[in-house]
Amino acid sequence: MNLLLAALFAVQTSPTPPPLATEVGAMLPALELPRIALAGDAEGSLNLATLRGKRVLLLQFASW
Amino acid sequence: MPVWHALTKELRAAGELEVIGIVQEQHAERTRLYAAWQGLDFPILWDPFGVAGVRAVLIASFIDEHGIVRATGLRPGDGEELRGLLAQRWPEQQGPDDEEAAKSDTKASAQTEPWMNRALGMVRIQHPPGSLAAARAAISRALFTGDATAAAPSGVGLDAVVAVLEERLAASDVAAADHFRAGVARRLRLDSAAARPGDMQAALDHWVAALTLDPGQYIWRRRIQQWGPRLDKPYAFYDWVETARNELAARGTPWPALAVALTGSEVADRSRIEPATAETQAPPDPERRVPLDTNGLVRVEASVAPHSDVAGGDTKAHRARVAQVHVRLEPTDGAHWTSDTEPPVLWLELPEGWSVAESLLRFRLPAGESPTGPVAVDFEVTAPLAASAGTLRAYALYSICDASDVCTFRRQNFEVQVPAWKSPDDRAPTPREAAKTP
Repeated sequence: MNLLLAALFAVQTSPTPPPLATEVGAMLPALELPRIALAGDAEGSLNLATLRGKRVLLLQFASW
Repeated sequence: MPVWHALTKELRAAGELEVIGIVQEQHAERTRLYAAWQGLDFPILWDPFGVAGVRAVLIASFIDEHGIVRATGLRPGDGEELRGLLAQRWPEQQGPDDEEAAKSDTKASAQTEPWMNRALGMVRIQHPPGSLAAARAAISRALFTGDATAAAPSGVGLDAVVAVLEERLAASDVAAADHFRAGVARRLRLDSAAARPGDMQAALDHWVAALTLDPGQYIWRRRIQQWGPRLDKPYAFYDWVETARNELAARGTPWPALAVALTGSEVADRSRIEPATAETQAPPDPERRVPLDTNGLVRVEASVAPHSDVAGGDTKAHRARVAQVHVRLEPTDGAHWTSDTEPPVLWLELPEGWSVAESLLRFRLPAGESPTGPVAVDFEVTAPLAASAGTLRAYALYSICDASDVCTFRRQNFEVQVPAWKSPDDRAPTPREAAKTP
């Protein structure tokens, strides 16, 4: 099964889904998350699959 | 994060790079403040339930135009590594075939539930009709607006979220992440107008259960430490908030107070030495002259956050000897606080050998003349020996006004049970385990 499907179904079929974007060669899944509205932004969400065609630096962080 | 922001600003402006953040925090509004303070202007996504599955932060990954991860664990440095990645060209065939990927997307879209179901993650069992839909709707409102209170005021939505996620804990194939997410839902509800008694303690218990099953999951460990004792903290979590608000105000963009107020534990720094003043403080009502709150105008709730080492994964000397106690006072039945008098206070009476920095703690009232919201204080307590259980006797004194606006000064006695956590095998029982106990 390709990585996309694996990632999509991971949380429903596996107790420990692989961490997002931590394996070189893996495909970014079609994961949709709410977008935090910053100054001038609208509320909404962003699906990572919409980033295809762009080069992306993905930063997973916390403010603490 | 500011380093990455500065390093990529020109690349983003030139259209050579997109920067996306995913933040692993319970409260989106704190990230919003942080981003405003630091001037972060790239999209930031909120993942309180840990759907991304990351086990620690910061993780920086580079993804090519085909959606393939080409590097991870990047360090900003002088930008050389990032520029090197941008200079490369990967043939399309090195990633999954586009047609195949498109089919997969379509298939996945058709077969999976909306993204909400992935946020819930563990929903694989039977539910009463409507409960799952209600949970999805509530979680959607909460997450998309970045405001847990969006699921209120009825509370029906967040009640369903909690019910669905805790129901999952009884399944035979329950996973560590299920416990974590149930804790997140409980905490979301606590921070909403739909808060229920026990939400705080349940959130902590769920997170301890999750971490016990997977002690190497540092996102989960941080969630306990956020409200845990000072000595369990790798760093102060939100000590930057006051600075951020002050600096934003100085720039002419004042920031409103956080909807979910910071607790003392969330700004505590393990290197800060707590003043040993407890022995010199005098009890505020030693003769018990203040009438008891026999009408129950205020509900008192205490929750105990253990040192995260009770879940295993570390061997610090302070293990299980310290805990952070959170006390919350909430007006009931239309009662409200009054700003005309002193804020509520809390007095602690400790068992022999136990210690706190201060025996007398003061609550801070919410803004307004007649606020109705809960107030809270938290404090660190140290047991004389590891694995000591104890009962802290305490009383709160407060001025409270009933629904008819009759205000009285009242006392409420209560006890805080600090359990004897001494090892992962002697932790607080999970709800599932507790349910099996006769």
